[in-house]
Amino acid sequence: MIPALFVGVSGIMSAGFIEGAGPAAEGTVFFPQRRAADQVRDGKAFMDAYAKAGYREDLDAYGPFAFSAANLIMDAIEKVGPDRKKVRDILNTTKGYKALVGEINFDDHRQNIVSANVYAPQDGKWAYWPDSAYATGTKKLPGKAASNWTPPCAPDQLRRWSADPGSRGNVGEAGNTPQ
Amino acid sequence: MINEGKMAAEFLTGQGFKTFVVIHDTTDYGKGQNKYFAENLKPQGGEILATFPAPRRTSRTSPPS
Repeated sequence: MIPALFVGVSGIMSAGFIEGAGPAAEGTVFFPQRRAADQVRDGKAFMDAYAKAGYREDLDAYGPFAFSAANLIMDAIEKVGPDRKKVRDILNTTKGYKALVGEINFDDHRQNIVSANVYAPQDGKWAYWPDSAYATGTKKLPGKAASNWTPPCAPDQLRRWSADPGSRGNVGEAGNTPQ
Repeated sequence: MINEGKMAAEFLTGQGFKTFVVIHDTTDYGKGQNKYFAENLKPQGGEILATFPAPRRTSRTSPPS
């Protein structure tokens, strides 16, 4: 077994990950762009309304973004009316818009400029890293002692294995683990 | 997306990790995340030992997407 730390980004950071990985989820780290809904302004009101509406699905990583996007569009339509060009033009000027996912600022490629955050599963829930037991030192990340771990074969052999589609088994199929 | 790879690279090297292995799916999302993580890891001095692109499957009998 490899003493390594498992990390991921927003796509895998969902309720399903903690459910699926169970105790193995403890001691992993994730880097999503959004803050957990219960940690932003109006976040609590949103969480309460979401629970009340009775949706079965968890918000996951992108629920708050969908909510923010819908509100951006609705606010634009309220401002300029249901005119596609006008709505597009006003959306393009979005700066300092206070949304559920934080402040929205579109750059000239209409990409939202937002910083990423650090989260870690703790006791079966997503904990914001600065508030977590890891930040206070109560808990430690695994794999720290192995930060200078050397692989069992030369690194360039590992690279060849991963780059050659012919040589590798079906990644993801149970029982086909890399050598 | 870009910020997530940057944060990951900076945070993890800051924690003292030096070697990394990447598993990513082969959608634009997965490929993009791999690209930005790798790009941001270089200036931090981290080393990616191997990268495994993993095609998504909708079922065990369907071909990879």
